[in-house]
Amino acid sequence: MSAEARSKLDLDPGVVNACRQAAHQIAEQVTEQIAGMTTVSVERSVTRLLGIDGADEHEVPLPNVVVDQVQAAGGLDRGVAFWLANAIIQTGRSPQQIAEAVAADDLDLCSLQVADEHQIRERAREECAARLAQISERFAERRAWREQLGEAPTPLRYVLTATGNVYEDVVHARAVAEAGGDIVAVIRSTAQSLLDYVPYGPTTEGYGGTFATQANFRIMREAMDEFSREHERYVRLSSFCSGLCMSEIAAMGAWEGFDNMVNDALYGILYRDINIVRGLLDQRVSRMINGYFGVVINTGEDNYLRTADAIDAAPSVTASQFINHQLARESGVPDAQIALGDAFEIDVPVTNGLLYEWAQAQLTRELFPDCPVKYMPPTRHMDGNLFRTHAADSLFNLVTVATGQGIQTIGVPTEGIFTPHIHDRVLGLQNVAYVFNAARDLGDEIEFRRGGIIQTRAHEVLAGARALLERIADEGLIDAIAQATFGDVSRRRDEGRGIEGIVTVADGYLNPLVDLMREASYA
Amino acid sequence: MPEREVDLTRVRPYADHLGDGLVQMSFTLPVPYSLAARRAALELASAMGFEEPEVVHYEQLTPGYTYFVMYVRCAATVDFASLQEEGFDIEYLSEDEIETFAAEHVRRPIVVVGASTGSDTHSVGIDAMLNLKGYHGHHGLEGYRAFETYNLGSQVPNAALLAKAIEVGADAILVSQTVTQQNLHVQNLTELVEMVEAEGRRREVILACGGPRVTNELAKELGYDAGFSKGTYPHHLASFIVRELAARAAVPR
Amino acid sequence: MLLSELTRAAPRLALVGLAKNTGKTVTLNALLAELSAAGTPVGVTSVGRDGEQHDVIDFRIDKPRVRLEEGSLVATTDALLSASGTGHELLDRTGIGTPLGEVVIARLLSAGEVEVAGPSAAQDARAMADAMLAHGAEQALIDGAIDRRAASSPHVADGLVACTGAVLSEDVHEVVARTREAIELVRLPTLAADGPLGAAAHALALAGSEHGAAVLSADGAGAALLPARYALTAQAAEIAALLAEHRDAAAIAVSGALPESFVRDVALAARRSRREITLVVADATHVFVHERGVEHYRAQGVRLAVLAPIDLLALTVNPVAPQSHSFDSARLRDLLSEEIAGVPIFDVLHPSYRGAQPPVSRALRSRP
Repeated sequence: MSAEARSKLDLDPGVVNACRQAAHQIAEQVTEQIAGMTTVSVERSVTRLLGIDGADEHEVPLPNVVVDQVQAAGGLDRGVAFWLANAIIQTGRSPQQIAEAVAADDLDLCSLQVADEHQIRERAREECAARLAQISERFAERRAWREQLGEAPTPLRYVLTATGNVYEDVVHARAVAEAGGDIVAVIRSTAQSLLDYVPYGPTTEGYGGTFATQANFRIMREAMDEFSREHERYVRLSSFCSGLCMSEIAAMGAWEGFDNMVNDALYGILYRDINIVRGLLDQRVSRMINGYFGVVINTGEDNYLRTADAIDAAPSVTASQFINHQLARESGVPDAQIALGDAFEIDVPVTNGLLYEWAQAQLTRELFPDCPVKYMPPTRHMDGNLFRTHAADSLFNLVTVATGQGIQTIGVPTEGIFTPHIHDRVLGLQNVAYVFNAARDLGDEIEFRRGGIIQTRAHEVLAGARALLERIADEGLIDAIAQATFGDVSRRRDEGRGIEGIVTVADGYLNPLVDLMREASYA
Repeated sequence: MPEREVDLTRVRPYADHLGDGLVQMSFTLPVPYSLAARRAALELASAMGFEEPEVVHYEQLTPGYTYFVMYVRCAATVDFASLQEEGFDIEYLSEDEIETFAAEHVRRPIVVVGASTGSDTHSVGIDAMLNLKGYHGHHGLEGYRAFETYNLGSQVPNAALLAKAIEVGADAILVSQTVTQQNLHVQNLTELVEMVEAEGRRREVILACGGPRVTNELAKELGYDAGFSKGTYPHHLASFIVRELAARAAVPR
Repeated sequence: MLLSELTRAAPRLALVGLAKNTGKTVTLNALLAELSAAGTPVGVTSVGRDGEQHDVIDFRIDKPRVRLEEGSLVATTDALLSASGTGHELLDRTGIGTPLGEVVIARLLSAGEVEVAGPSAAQDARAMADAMLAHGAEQALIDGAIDRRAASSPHVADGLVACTGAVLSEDVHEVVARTREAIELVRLPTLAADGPLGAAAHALALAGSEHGAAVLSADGAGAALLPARYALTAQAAEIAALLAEHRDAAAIAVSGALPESFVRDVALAARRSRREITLVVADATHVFVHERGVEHYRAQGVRLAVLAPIDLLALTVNPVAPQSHSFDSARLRDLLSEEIAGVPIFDVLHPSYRGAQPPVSRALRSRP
């Protein structure tokens, strides 16, 4: 992703710098506020990265079985890795065998004799390091293959499928890949973000999407790899590290070789009422995993505009981009892997709406030149008039290519009617192909009038973002969210789903995965 | 050109001139892209009862799947006159008229609790009806003096919606359902009405549902008092609620 | 035995489908035809719509019409009654509005096809049935809607005919399994009022829904009342704490609705503490479990029980799924009777059924 040669918006570097400083301060506060805690899903992702998979006779996933047992025994404050490493030492079994024994009620992890602490730490670290190396090797192979086939020119075309049945998703995915899609994302079943476990096995029934399960990931990955081999064009895969199992899904995606992940806690906090501390804790570890394995993360600022007015809320989008950028960096994600969110959501009757969209899109690019950005299509004001939606999508495509966004989620004419059908997605991609090609170098030809509508709008949004960021830096992100700063939605620290899954850690808490990944990102 | 009377007992689609019956349609068939596929689309249109089918565009989506755009002529007619007589249309009041009507006939704040229920993540519909901002320049119920509103947002379990409605003594419960894959909306809506019954509150509360594929007929079959589809504005909903409350007050049960 | 003979003892008879298109209206027409042949005056109401031309969800599906004899009573809306073109005598205006007009009770002056859409509230449906019985009907038929069960409550109807069919699944074994689960739910065990637990639960029910729920010990003593709306709102941690606090708790009685989330969370707490808990409700229509069957929860230590049973009199079967697949009727009934004991199973359109054939077109149920 090359930075623009020079600013088209004539931004004041002092203001930009003030924004960055405030965002840095906010991110550091967050790190302090969530220090000394872990969550059940973070601990389950440790078990997953150690190779534990499967489900018991009640269809409870084994990672839950293991973590539940340790939590019920009051041992989770030492970290599940501590008890697993001890069990490995005491029984000589593998993590998977240990989990199966726990499920069969044959093994009580917390009542085993406890080995020497130093020995446990060493053993845990060895197991984790070996496993990380194993996953990294798979990733390195994939990266090499991707590079060999060559990356598609940006903006990458990000297309969703959402049939509920993984085998139908494969048909849709092949069709959209054929029509030029670069990244395929399987939308999750609408209920999944609130499940405090990841379902097991391939699934053929979901609503508004398909369950993210390890088996479904594998089926999609195999299908897209096959397509990539046949067509000598690499198709990336994406899913959703969000909801109550953010970090577990990151672990699953890493193992199955996913390239991108939607990875934003704020979406779940604001729109799914997930507890804010739980969300931020899970986000930190999931981003760490994604950062470590080279997965591009997408943040969810675009969503604010689905509940708040796109013109009024623009500064909150920019402010959130600054914060998300800093939070991602704190988790060790490099800029090239941070696709910040933005959306084309101004209501259709607004005069010069296209100019405001252009200003916002250009602003995002200039503020984060090394981040890919994920630009989202109009949805909120789209309705049953699919022809109007198709027309609005053409303008959206024009702004996308002219401002050089890194990733674009394609617009689909039947947005707002039902889960789009296979040909609707292809029609959307054809629109993209037409506009991207017809206006390929438009951005290089354009300069904006000094003090004109677009520059003025960008300056206003940036000034608004600065004021907001400085306010948030004063009161802290958590209080700012309680005051409905984002998306007009208010959430409080002591409320929300999943709060019971937060655990205060004890001295001697052990999580070698986080340690190893952190060491790598600072190496 | 002399004005012609439209025969409302025998109405068919209008494209270029009265009675031409032209219909545009598009669909995908799970067959390989070929002349035979085109033939299949034409035959299918005939089997649908359309005349003079014409494929104006077709292309391959992925091997084994072909997409068609067609024009066809519809010979069937519909008796519009008799539909009008069944009187399914509700007469709507304006925002001011609703305030006046409520002040005269209800004389207390009308409590409305709404949510998008089950696993449905879409809050657009319920927000448009309830939030101050409303929809296309029409205030949501929150903006009326007559209403006290609680918008619980999306992905709300039926049990939670019902609990809130009981807690605040709701006059009306409003449910929005956008996801309709595999008729999920029907299951969700049914469960709510049955729960209201189980709590013994069905007679006390107005139940209304809305969503792109909700109709008044479906609402009735599900046991709701009204159903609102696309094109509904907040004042439509408000008109219904104030009228219904006034009617119930007039006929004590 | 004919369906009508089997159900004669129930003055108020509910017909409930396990899903749409399980043949409720066909069953209703069969009953009406048999009752007419026997000269029994009858009244009909519906908590949804019956006899409409097309399916309200899938417009492709033509629905059978409801055919009523001269002298029959009906509770439907004024608009639908006039649209039917059938001569009638208006008996009561009920003041109950529906999306399709005001509900009235009328006596038909000639035979005809009428679309029946009565009040949808179960209590109102009961009132319609009672009014029609008072106006001279010997039996009032209350037709359900979609898969709504409220009309089958013993507080509404005296007996139930359940309807199942191929529409439940393309896999015949899945149809049988889902039907078995639904019937199991209808026939949840009844707590005897003279047992200690039953007595305590009945006492709570009498106390009314103000309290919502209570924890009971096995001897029925030491009932502790729970906050209002407890079963609707309690979270997993709260429930676990409740059971930890009440070590001797054997049951939780719930006066209103019992949502699946509550059953699931009680099951989780019961499994973790290795205990058995009975959840007691007024009747089976108060239980909302869709994801898992009664047996699944029983395996986890949660039993469901009711204070008042539903009298399931018959199960009817539609072996055809409209616009889709169909099964062999006899085989489906055989498979069902292997899994579901103690209830007669009918296919009222099958040649082997010796009841009066209902006057609906067989084309609607064309078999391969």
